[in-house]
Parts: sequence; C-alpha cells; structure tokens
Amino acid sequence: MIRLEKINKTYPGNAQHAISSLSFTINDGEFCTFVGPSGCGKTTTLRMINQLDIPDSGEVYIQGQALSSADIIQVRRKIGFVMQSPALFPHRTVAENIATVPRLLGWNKRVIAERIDELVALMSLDPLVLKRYPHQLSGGQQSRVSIARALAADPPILLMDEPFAAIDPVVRDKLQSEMLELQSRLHKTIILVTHDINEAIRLGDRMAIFQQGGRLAQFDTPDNILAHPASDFVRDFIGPEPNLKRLGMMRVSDLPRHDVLLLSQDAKPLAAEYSLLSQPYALVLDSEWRPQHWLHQGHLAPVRIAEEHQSLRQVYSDLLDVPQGVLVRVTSTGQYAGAIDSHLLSNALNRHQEFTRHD
Amino acid sequence: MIDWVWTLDNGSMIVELTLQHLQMVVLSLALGSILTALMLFLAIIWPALSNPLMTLSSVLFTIPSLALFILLLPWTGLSITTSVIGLTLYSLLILLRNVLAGMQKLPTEVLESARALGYTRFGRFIDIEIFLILPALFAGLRIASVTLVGLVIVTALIGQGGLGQLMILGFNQNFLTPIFISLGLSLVLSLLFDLIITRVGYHLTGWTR
Repeated sequence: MIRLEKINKTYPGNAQHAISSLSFTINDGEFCTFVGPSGCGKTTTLRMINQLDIPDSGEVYIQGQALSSADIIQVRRKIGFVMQSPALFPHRTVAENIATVPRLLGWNKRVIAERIDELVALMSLDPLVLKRYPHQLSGGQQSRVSIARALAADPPILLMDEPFAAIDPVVRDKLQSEMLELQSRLHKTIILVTHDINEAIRLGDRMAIFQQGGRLAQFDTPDNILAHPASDFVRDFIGPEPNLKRLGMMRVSDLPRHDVLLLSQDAKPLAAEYSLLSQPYALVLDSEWRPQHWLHQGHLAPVRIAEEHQSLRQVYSDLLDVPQGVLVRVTSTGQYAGAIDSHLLSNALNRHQEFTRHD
Repeated sequence: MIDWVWTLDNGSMIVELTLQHLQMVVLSLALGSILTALMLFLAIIWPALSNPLMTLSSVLFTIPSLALFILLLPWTGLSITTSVIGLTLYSLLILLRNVLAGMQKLPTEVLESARALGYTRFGRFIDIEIFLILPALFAGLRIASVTLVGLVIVTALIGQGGLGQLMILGFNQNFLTPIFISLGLSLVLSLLFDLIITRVGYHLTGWTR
C-alpha cells in the first residue's frame, strides 16, 4: 500500500505550489494512472514515491513505512522505475542493463542469468538483442528493455513516468495491451503517469486526475469518472464522447445475452432461451447453429457479426451501418450466441454503472 | 640538407634525448591524469566547484608556457622538477576542462534512471559516469599529449627539453641538421602518442559504435 499524506512542494522562484496538501492511498495490486495537463504535479508526485523529489512537508508511506526515515537506496531497489525516455545505460549490453538491480542487490550470476531469460520471455524480446548495445535497438525494443530492467528484481511496486509518450502509435498500442496482460499475470502495484486521457482510461483500474497546483480533481475508476465527472475541469479534461469511451472499456462478453427469432434452414422456428430483442427480423441458422442470413417478409439480408472479445465501442460503430440495427454475437467457433442492438448498449452503460458502484 | 654523418656520430645522444623527451611527456601526462582524477572527485563531492574549476583551467591555460617556467624558477631552479611541474599543470588544465565538460554533458535521464534504480552517488560514478566520460577523457588525452610533445621543446630554454636541446644546438651553431632531426622526431612522437591513445580509447569505448 502506498499512502501520501498532506504533501506540499514549492519550487524556488515559483509562488504557486507545485503540489499542495495532497493525500491519497493506492492499494496493493492496483494499476493506477495519474493524468492531467502539463505542470500539474503528476510527475513530481510520482517521483516523491521513490524520493527522487523530496516533499517540503508531508509524508509518503510505503507498506506503512515512512520514507523520510527509511534507507532510501534500499527502498528504491524495491521499486521499479520506468522513465519517459528508456534511459538505458549506453555502455552496457541489454543483458547487463536488465541485470542492473539484481547486481546491486548482490544476486549470484546463475540466478541473474535465469532471471534475464524469464524477463526476455515476459517482455517478448528476441534473445538475440541481449548482447547488443541500447543504441542498436528500435524505440519499442528499448522501451521493453527499460520495463524489463525495472521488473528485474521482481519489485512489488512499479512506477512509470510517461513510458510510451515518445513511441509511435502502433507500437504504443501494442505495448499498452502487453502492459495490461502483464499486470493480469503479475499483480504489481503500478502507477503510470500520462498526459493521454485515453491511455489513462485504458490502463487504469483507478485514475487520478490532477489539476494546476498539484491538486486532485478526481480520483476514481475510469468508468465512474466518465459517467460522473466531479467538476467542469474534469468534464473538459476527459473530452467529448464520454459514453463512447466507456463503451470502449467494455467487451461483448460483458453484455447479458438476448436472442432474436431463430429459424432453421428449412424455415422451422428454433427455440430461443433468452428474452427477445424487439425487432421484426428472423435469423436463419444452419444445422451447426452458424448464422446464415436475416429473413423478413420473404427478403434475405446479410448478417453482421460481433465476436466476444470486441469492444462495445466498435460494436456501436458497426451497428450504425447495419440496416436491421442488430448484430449477431458468435462464439470463437462461429456459432450463434445471441444478438446486440443499441438499446442493449444503453442499458449496459447504466447497468455497468450500478455494477461498479457496488463493487 | 641533412648531414647524415653527424647524425650517425651523434646517434646515441639523439636516442637519449628522444627517450628523455618521451619520459617527460609520459610523466607529466600521468601526473596530470592523477591530479585530474582528484579534482574530479572534488567536483563530484562539491558539485558547486565544477564551474569555478572550469573557469580557472581556462584562465591558467592562457599563461604563456615560457612565462610559467620562469615563474617557477625561484622555487625549483633549472631542474627537471621545474619542467615537469609546468608540463603537468598544462596537461591538468587540458584534461580537467575536457573531463568536466564531459561530466556536464552526460545525459541527465540516464543519471536519473541510475538514481531511481537505487545507485548510491559513488556507485553511479564507478559503474556509469566513469564509462560515459571515457570519450571526453580520451579526446583530452590526445590533445594533451600532442601539446606536451611541443611544450617539452620549450623547456630546453631552462636547461631541460629532450629534443629541444638539439634545436638549441642547431641554432647556436647555425647548423640545420639537428633542427630538422628534432622537428622530425617530435612529429613522430606526436603521431605515436596520438595513435596509441586513439587505439586504446577505441578498445575501451566499443559501445559507442
């Protein structure tokens, strides 16, 4: 658990507080994002958690220990840190870079070598890069090495300061999904600073929105913030289309199942188990329950499908150019698994809200 | 133009003066490097010293070499000590300026990441900074060595001077051969130092390529 208590920080020659009376708690295993306009104190706050910056007053606690009285070198070795630029040591090979903290901790060589192999697999790096120097790597590879270096000694806490800001959008997207997958396996306490609201929404279990002067504008789950922004500042900051962003966080598999009228290929009605969507079309299935086409007053129409892992935002976009206003859900093997219309999406937004509130 | 008979007759003297020349350069370069390391440590312990040291090196470097040797005469006389002190000072000024400038140009984000990962100040210097200033250090060593080969000749005027002795001999007797030999050999020495230092630097900084 990371706890900040009444943190204040002013920089010399600057009358305004960089951070004023900031307090919050981050739970173990939580992926928390700090987001806000530049100069709002989010990076400074992050850097206080491993005392790269020292607060003027207030205290940071990690697992109950006050950092002002801790051996900060030892504390830092138990916290992974990833900077905006990969900042690898240019005179050391990739393997040596990754081994930095284990070496500082005095691990023996064999254990370090095994750990490097694990990390190479974890970060999907090519083992061939281990002997190269950082400048011989692409930007994306350097970022992966930088994350591997931060995770090397298996620290319970990982701090990331805009780690993907300087990476092209395609690789960034890939690294973001890898981060999520990594977290689902490792369950670290992660704090990630970003100025990209979409990145903050996508990655964070909870999201802290900072505003000028290092104050917290809102600290909640992305869904709650999008549904109920606490102030005009937050509303402006999260930008237009909050509902689309919320849909973007949900998958087809999150929806309750609804059916449509079903027909077999020889036009016999098939039993639907769930409540029906109110629309006039009937769906024709083949003998293995794969959707064939829509049937309405003797006319055939093609079927558009949605797979279980697709985001509801994409589903909503697809719905807009389907004349029937209905998408058919299919399983990974292509079998019929229900249907989706826009009412269902509206309900999902409301229901999701209640669901996460009680959570 | 060159009197080869004289050259052969005085071969042993020429070799001896060349070795003396070499010895003075190596000695001053070594002492200069040690002093540079000490100053660098001071600059790391008190970072505020860094800029004043840079300025001081630049100002001292503008003192003409001959004036410096003459300033030292009252204390150390016409001895090899005088010339080594002067030469060491020059190599110190060149090396220190290069190394301090190199330290100031180290990539801040790399140093920050070292801090964040849990390096102590001393550990960071030994593991990282020392390696990253190697290119600047070797650039400084090259300039210093070539400068010193030339400066040793000046110390002939205070009775030292290695190959500078040959030059004075030539001037006094209005005889060109020793002057040419002195010039040629100092050129060879400069190139030799430059080559060796470049090769060593090349091997120690493989990561820059």
